[in-house]
Amino acid sequence: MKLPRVNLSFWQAVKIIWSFARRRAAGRKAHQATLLSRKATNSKTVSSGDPLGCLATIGMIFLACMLHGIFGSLVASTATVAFRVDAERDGKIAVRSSDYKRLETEASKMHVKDSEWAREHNVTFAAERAFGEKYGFQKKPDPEYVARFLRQFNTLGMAGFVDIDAGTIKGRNVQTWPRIALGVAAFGVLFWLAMLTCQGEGVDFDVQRRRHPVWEWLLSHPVRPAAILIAETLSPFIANPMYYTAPVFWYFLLSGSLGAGQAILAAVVIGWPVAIAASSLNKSLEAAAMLRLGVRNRGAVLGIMSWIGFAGMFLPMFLMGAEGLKLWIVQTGMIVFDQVPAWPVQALLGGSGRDVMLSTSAGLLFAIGLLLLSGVIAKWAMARGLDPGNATTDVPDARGKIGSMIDRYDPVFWKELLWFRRDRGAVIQAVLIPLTLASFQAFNFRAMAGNALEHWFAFCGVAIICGTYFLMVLGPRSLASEGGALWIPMTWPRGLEDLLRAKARIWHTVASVIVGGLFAIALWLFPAEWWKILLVAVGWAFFGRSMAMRAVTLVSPMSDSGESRPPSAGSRYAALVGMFSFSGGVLAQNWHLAVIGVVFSGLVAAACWQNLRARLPFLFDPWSEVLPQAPTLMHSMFAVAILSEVAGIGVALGRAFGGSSQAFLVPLAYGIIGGIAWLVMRGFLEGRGVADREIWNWLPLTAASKPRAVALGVSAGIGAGIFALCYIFVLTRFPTTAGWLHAGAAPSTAGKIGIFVLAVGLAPIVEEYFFRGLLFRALDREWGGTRALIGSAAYFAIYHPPISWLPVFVLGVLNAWLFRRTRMLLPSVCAHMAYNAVVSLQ
Amino acid sequence: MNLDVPHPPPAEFLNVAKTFGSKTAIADFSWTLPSGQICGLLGPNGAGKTTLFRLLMGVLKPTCGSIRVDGLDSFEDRVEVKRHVGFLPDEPVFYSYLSGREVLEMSASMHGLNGRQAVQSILPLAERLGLADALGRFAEDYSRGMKKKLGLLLALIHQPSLLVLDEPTNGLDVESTRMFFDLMEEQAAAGVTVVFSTHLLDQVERLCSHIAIIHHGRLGAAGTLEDVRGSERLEDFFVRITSNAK
Repeated sequence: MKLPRVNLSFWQAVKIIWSFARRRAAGRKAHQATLLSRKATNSKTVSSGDPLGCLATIGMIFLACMLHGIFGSLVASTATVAFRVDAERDGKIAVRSSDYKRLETEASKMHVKDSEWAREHNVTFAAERAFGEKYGFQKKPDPEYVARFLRQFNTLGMAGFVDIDAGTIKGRNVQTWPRIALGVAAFGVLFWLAMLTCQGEGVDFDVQRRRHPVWEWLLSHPVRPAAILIAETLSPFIANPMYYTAPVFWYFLLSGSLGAGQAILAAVVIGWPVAIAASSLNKSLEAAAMLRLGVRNRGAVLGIMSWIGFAGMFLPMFLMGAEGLKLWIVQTGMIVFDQVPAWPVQALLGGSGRDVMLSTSAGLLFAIGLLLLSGVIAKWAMARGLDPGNATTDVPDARGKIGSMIDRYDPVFWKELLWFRRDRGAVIQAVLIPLTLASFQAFNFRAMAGNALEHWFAFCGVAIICGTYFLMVLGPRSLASEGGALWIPMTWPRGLEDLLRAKARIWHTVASVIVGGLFAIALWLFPAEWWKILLVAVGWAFFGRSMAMRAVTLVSPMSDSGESRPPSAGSRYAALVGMFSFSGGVLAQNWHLAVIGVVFSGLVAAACWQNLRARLPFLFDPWSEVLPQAPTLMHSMFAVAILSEVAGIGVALGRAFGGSSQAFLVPLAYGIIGGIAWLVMRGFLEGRGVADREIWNWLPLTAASKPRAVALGVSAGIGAGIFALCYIFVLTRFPTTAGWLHAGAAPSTAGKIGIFVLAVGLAPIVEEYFFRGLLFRALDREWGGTRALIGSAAYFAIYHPPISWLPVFVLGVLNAWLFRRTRMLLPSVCAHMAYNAVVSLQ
Repeated sequence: MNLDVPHPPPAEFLNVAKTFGSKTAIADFSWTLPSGQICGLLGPNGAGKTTLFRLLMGVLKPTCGSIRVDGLDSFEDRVEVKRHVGFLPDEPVFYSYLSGREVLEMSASMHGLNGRQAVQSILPLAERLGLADALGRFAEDYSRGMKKKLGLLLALIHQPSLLVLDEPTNGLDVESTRMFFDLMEEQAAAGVTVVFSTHLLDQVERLCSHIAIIHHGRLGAAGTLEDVRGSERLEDFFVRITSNAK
């Protein structure tokens, strides 16, 4: 049966293409959300019948209007700042309106001009405030500046000052605007235009895309080519609310000079044509990137366009209310702003007569110019037809510069380095996008960042936060850059694991380049603190590596159908736990917290990897996933954390409310809590098929005799105890460390007995069960060898006061070694008891 | 070498079933591949051929039953299994920033070989496939046929004992298809077991000594080509099996 057929009219064809442009935009939004790992999208499309879809569109229109409004106001207010900068350039001093009025009153008197009078009449106060406005509120007023202020007041009177708020553009004749303010307005408009042009149908970060223009396919249909051309060039305008809400920007920009009523008319007449031109320019640039660039540059150009569209949209929010930043921008760009020809901006703003006709004519001419430009670009792009023109030249041999890593080093890391070197899209995907997202976070920490230039530790702390967040953004996207080539690692013996390790290394390298650069600036700003900054840099080397390892464990692969399966909420929280402890320690100059942060992060990384290794075989087969073998490192760390917190609370309560019985109550509280923790853990492990005796005895058992093992443990513990006594002796030789040792009040005899019972009778059993029986065993499975001994001992040490870290670490290494050698927990318990007994005797 | 101990078959599917949630992709599938033969896995689109290959490569775990490659469990021993298996996907995609030579070197290195030596050793084969001159170019810029050829070199570079090819001649021109056939026959003659999926029955009749027909995830028939088709034409037999199977 022949289907009925109609010949499409010009506008019917345009309408069909536009309706699909809207659907494309909706699909892209869903895809982008998946890429950014904000949510797992199981449905890739937003259906038109979805009632929430309508609300979402209204929300998007509202958001777009808001962004344009902010943009327009910002350009106007930055132009206002330019008035002030221009006056300062002429030698005037900028003061607040209230101070300006007060000075005016005082200037009319002008009879006593000495500094005593000035102080009495708050002129000095005005000077200090003006200094604060200019140089930031953190700095103390400079006496020289105050003296200059007074001189200015006494010699020039009010002619030497400018009111920072008086220069508002509202109602002010544009002919009287300083050149610099016109320049600011021009650049503001161009920046907004760049943001709008780069929006496209919707911001898309998928820079791996190798889309061929759909035009070739569209042109194969029986419709007029002009319809396709118009529909395609206008599709961003139709699909993306940022375009059709553009008049809002012009209203806020022009209302100052034209007045509210006329600004509405001008905004509509200018706003839509300019938005249409921007939409057309977007398509031309995209076509030029597709047709004129090689495959490795294409993604980069499209990525940069997307980035400008995305970052440009939110940048004004950062500048809102940040007067200091606006001032800095105007002062820094002064030379460029001065070069902008005045007449186009004056015409756009309505000229001296605030003429709406002049304004709209100028705006329309601007739009026509942009349309012509987009036409020229499109013509150049398609001069060779729709042939993408792939490069066919040979690839230069990379060995010379990168070395023969592939033979003797890590071939996957080498591959990642080549990615950075050859694919321009790598920089967008691995640097620009994470940095942009990290800078959004920086907005939340802006108070801290504002303080960063004042103190070296604040600067380094902010650098570490930046690096940490950068890694946490990048890690989950680790497989995105593999794209369709992921099948290749799947054919290697340990492909995915090797690949993710290489990813962690490359992310750490990139993050370290950024953080290292910031540390170098810190060295330059605070040269006297060089050794402290270098120590923090060493801490970052370890911390950054572990953060990179943690971050890649959050990787979520894409299935063939585009669905992503993010890791469980538990894994996500686990990978994030303690991520700010190192930076927090540095920021607060709490060095033992910083060290704890580094050690803790290393162990968390190992725990996350242990779980990831169990998850990796099922990355594409979640239906078959099984839980990792208990006890895992994560179980152990969790158990230790719970024990430590609850026992800490129990002991503190015993001390607070125990009164005269606390010598008895404190060990009792610890014993009860330790016992409960053991019972809970035992129940959990039995639920996972691990009997309690398997914790006390590490299977398979060796033929070692128990009495000999116990004797070995006791003697090792006594040895470690003697080492601790020597360490304490050394500490008492130095006044500072001796003060630390005797910081607390000396306990009573009963208290000493209580501490002895706790330290020798209870703590060794509980702590050995958790730190050696669970934690070291799990870590040994992950790291093995000396590294596991050191790692578990360091983790054991950080649960003790910093003064005792060294001897406790030695005991931790010894006990872990005993456990591994004898494969029984008993010798370690005996060693711990002997150690604590020797130290308690002291 | 103890000749009394029988060598395990190169690949063996033992009552394999695979379900994805409530959907059954493979059910009770058993097939033993004979050593050094070319075996064809036939089935209509969506029958479960690619799932079977993923199970064979250890990317998926069977819900029931097991798959053994040279006596190793395809999932539990997946690391070792990958040393034995060379795999060519239906549509090979390569890193856009690596040349063909670099892809080969990297993959060889990941199999524990010396990358340069491995590429040198496979160069004669690349020349035969007409790919040697293009190895210095970005693999992304290759035509579809060239990508298939590079994929085949990648599957062979670590000298596997089992070659798994998913629709190997899909999209290839006549000359390249013939070259692929010749290579498969040479590999089989050298003792390598070749298994490939296809829905082109003339290819199967020309190349395969053994076949298995899969339909809706179930084994329709398996054995030598002659035993399976009997006196019928393969096409008639295939249509009968795939239309009857539930």
